[in-house]
Amino acid sequence: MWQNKNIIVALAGNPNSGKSTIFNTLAGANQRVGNYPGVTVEKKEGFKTYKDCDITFVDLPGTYSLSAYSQDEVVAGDFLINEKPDIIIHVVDALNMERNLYLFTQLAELDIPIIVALNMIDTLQSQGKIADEKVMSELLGVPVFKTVGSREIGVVNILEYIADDNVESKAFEKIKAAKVDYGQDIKAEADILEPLISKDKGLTQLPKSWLVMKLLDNDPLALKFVSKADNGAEILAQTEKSRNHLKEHFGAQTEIIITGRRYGFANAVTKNVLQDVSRKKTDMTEIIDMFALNRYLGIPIFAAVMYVIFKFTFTLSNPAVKLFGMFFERFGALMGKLLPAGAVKSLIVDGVIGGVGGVLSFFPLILFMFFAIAFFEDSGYMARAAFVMDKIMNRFGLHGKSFLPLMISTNGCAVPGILAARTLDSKRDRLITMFVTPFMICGAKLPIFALIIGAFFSAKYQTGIMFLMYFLSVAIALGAAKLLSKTILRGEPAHFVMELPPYHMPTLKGLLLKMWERGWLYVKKAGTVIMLASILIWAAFTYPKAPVNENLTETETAAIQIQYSAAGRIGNFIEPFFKPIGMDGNRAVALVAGFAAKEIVVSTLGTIYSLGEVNPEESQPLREKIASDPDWSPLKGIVFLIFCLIYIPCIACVVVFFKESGSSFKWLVLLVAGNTVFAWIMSFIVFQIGTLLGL
Amino acid sequence: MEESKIIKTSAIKSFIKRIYEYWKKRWIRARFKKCKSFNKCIMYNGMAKLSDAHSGTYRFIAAYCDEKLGRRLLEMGFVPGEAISVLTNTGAKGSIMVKVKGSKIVLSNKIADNVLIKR
Repeated sequence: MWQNKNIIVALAGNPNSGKSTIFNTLAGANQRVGNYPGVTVEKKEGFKTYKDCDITFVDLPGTYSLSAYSQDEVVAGDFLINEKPDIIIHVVDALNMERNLYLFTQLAELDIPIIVALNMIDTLQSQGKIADEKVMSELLGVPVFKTVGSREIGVVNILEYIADDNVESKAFEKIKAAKVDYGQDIKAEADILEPLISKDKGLTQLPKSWLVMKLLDNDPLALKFVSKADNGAEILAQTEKSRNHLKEHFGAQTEIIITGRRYGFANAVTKNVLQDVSRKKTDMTEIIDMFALNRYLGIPIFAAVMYVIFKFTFTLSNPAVKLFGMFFERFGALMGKLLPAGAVKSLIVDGVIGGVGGVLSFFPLILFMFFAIAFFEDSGYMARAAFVMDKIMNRFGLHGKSFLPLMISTNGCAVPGILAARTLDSKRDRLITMFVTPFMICGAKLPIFALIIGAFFSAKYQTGIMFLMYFLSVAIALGAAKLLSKTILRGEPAHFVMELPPYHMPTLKGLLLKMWERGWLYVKKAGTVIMLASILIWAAFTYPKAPVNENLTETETAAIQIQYSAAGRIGNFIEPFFKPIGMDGNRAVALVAGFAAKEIVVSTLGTIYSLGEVNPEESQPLREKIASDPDWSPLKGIVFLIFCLIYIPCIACVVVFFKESGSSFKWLVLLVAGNTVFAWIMSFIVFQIGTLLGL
Repeated sequence: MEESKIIKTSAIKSFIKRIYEYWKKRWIRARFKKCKSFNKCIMYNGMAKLSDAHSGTYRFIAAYCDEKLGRRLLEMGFVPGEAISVLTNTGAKGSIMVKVKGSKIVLSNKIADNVLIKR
């Protein structure tokens, strides 16, 4: 059958059955990750040559069944039916055998050889049970291999089995998976449908028993196939008749009866295979859940876990971020020396290297964050976190998992925050979360707050004001979430039905692979756009060139250049709009510059305020300059901060938002324009009320 | 001077205690009422909503929701007659954790509202 020895192997299994771990072990590092066309489901392929056998492994998304109701299931079903892999490895979680075997009953109907990998045997043994793979193999009619995915035990046997199959023996073809006996009544209806299906040429290509059961099951995918056939109308009519007959006979929907039969089969197999040998030892999952899902302890534990993720992301990645920064600084300086002075040099050093540096300086951060998230996802805590936080977050129209992006954004960075919103399943929840994430005080906004608060308030009140600002940012974010859920993105947070998997230790290999895949996807998707955008911003600040004046110092030239450039002109042009909120042209320019990155607001203010200084040696710190400037006042400072808090996020954040929201311009415009208008209105209210009160 | 201070603090203490006890009583009463109404519902109707259930073991009857969700529940093991043990129920706007076929499943309250159970 396989003269060329090129075998396609599909891995199927429930979510959390340890499928990815086995896939990683089987395929090794030679993997390719992409998306299935048209959907956001990840497609993972691995290639391996074992004993002159070229094996292609395809990791199907984890599903509970093969019906066509969720995107994952559609993808898995489509692949199995259209691509027809040579063999399916069904990964069965031994702890949860009944539900896992339910999927087996559906896979068996596809007429594709199946190998069962009975996974997590070690945990099963620790619970005082053993599984008899010989009995299981007999009952299911397929070879069964015991494996421990996390310790790579038993996986080689599967590989051996696949590679050993040679042209003469054709071991695969002998595999005949046991099919569920649905009982006389359903079988009778199936026997009527089968000849009708065999009439059509296109339909005979499909596995017959699968199609018949799916028709009785009222599955959209099967109905689609049939409606294309020549005698489609006839088959559909007969299907309807059969379904009605069965419904009358059983007094219940046919799908319930069919599901019941399948579960009956799974239950019977499970009872025969599993045996209690010793008394049940303590179950770690129960013990951890006793604390993690406790009514009172749940939320503190959740907060602690979030804090660990936060610390891990920002503290441990710090050396790497610094190294990257230093490298690009050195590299820029080196290029600056090598290249002749002029526009090209400026473009390469400030535009390109600055842009690439900007993208890659996020890279270690994002890798560390993805690693931490992958750890808590794989260990099984993330599903519980949603359960713990759900009630609180629901009040604001957010999902329980929305907490993580907000947490990462506070004092951290909104870019990984927005990326972390991927853990949310429903599109509405994801959009709202991504929308409110930039409102938090991120690490780049902190210097602005430090500058302004330091300039206008005595040391006694500084912490209090800063705390107030944090509170304000959280209030704005939650308020905005509530507002969005009441207006544009109306609806409830996704109703969820989810399984809480038993805890288990994730493997380092799996975590690293996951981290690298997601991180690399970020560089590919957002990196290029961020780089282009930073070059554009660089151009806006460099052109048109100010006339050269030899008498001025370097900082003065820089300050004049800012006023003279396109960005500076925009800032001066929009100055009238900033008057009602108590800001002058200088601050407008600084805020426009802040679009590139929030920390630039401070440095731009510094450059502007250094203008017209007689002696740069005696320059006061920026803080004192602002404090002594008659045009600033504590109220104006606060208004400036409020504006900074809400208005358009930095370019990297906007680009990531754009990419993650499915490249829709509607949301982009809402983010950019909506936030700026909202910021203006908020500042206007605060400023006008403050002025009235005479502050 | 000293005495008045002591009287003041003790008055505040007893006031706080009274408020605490009032709310505690209210909470217990509400909880008791809820449990009672749920038990009565099961007693007289033979069935009740999963969203009202307190912890214990019940049997699944049916789920009234759209086809997509109904199918998903079926796949998760909510087959008529299947034993469901409720572990925690955080009430309205919260979610409910049940054990079905040996695995823990969390349902949001809105879904549990449409699920009927019996004893």
